Amino acid sequence: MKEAVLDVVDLGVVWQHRRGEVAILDGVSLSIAAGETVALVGESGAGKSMFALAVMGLLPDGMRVARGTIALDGDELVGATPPAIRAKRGGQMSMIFQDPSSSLHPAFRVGDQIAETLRTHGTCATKADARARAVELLRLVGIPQPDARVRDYPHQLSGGMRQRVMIAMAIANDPQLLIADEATTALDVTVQAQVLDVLRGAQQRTGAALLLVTHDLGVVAGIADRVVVLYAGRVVEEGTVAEVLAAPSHPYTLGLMRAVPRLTAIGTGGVLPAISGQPPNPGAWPSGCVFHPRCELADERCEVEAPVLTPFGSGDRRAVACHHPVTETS
Amino acid sequence: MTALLEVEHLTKHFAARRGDGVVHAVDDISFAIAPGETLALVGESGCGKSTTGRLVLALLAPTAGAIRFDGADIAGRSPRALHDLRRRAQIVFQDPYASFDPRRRVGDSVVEPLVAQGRRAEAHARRDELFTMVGLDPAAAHRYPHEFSGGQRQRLAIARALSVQPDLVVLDEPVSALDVSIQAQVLNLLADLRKELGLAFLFISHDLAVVRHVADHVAVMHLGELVETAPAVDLYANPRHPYTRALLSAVPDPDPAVERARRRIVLEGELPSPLDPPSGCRFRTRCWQAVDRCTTEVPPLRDLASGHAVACHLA
Repeated sequence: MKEAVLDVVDLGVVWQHRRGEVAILDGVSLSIAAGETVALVGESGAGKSMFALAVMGLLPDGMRVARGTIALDGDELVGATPPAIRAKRGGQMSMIFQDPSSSLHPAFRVGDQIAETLRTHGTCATKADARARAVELLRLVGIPQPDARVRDYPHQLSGGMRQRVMIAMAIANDPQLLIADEATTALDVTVQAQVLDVLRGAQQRTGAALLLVTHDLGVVAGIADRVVVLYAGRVVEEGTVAEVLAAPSHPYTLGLMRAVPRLTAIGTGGVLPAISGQPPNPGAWPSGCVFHPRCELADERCEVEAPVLTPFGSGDRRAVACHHPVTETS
Repeated sequence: MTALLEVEHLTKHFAARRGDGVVHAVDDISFAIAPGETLALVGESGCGKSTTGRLVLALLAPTAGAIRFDGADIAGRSPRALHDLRRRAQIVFQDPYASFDPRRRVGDSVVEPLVAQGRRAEAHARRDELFTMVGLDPAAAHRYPHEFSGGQRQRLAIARALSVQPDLVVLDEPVSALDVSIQAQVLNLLADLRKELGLAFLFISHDLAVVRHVADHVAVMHLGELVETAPAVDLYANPRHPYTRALLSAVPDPDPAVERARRRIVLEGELPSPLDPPSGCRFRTRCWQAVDRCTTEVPPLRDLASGHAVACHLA
């Protein structure tokens, strides 16, 4: 196995509030090798964005890493000083957020914003170099007439183009780790496809490890190598995309796959197989298996005993946390 | 059968914020919805589908064209006509967080349309029934919006729309903000209610996979115009407009084998500005099949076969 660029082991994140602590992530382990794409999948409140922010050292006020380790290319980030993490952020690791209009500064030209990150991390020594490289980066992410667009302000660009600028900025310093948090969720499908192509191209060019945080299983099926399914702050299933999505073994993953409306489904109308109930909020996680109140297969054991993530089947690093894993799909 | 809603040559132009430009939000579109039918209006952001939804409910005044509800033109917008329309046509918005007053108990919000109709006595009596209808506990009526999840709030929005027993509900991206597992629940609820109450839906969405699941008829909108309309089965089996084909080819599938074999039509360039739409066919700047004629001549929406109409010179 290739050496992991990102190696997170047993990560626990808590939210500290007036009346105590609430667990947000509970023992999440995940590693990504260079050139590999791993999708972190889950619904709102599962903790997937908090995982990404914890890695970037950007957890919001009140949240903190309570246990576990986060190693980036061998360097431990948990407990590292803010300046040390800042030096890596935007350089060795970078992140693309869902909403490009709130991630770009409205009052600065996009070229200058890209140039800033190049200068900050010492990739370009002079302003002229940085400007030239910014044009080059805009060309790489498929922005037409990059030498003119480099002087545009964010509001002069469409949502898809702004997201391309974000990708250009994220790959500016050839990061080893690239995190995309719902980076195409706000875009129209036609634009989404283009931006995913750009992201994939950027990753291939830089050989970065890519962490794709998303709720969209279609996107996962298209570009990820491995998938980690998160539910109520815990990993419930992981493995290669081909194995996990083609034959889910955790009832939650299976339920998600069945609930997605698809163009390829047979017939129209009819009842969509929905998962009953709703994802629990942090602080109100059920006992035992966190999924048991919504699970059709749950029995008494599931109510009291939390299943441990254990290797499953013959697949490559395939694992599932379930007392009654599904072995075949209908 | 007479149509419940009939829209003819509907046009809405907005004055641009700066200069004397005109935003062509909706341009000369016509469609009809029969009682109990679901028509889906699909297209990318900015194509005018939400504006159309608001025009239909007289929340916006059209620049030109006619909107007839059960045969009566609502364009005159007399207070009396509007009062009647509000009883028979309602709307559910995308964002269930923004469509409830955070300081009002949800029970009061849900029956507000009844109160506005001057039916206060009925409002009290129907509240529990409405909560039960959308799968919520009537005891939750005294709670506030923040105590509900996104999916529950969308159920509340549906209950509110149904309070006046409308014939038509405009659903503007009703499940786009919801998680997959919740989205399926709400879609199933809408299907049940439709069957039970004989509702007609104008279902506005950008998601062709969701639309395939709910629609009888589909109208594809591009830059203010309808480019293809067809019974849903025909549209998905045999899309005729290049734009429809491109949209369908862009929908990802969660099955990795299907997804990796998917052949995608990549559209070049970006959606042109509705301030200055291209001459001739408005899709030509992104169309891989465009010929000279597309620049000079506007393709009319013409019926090809049994209700399948397309606006393309080459179809």
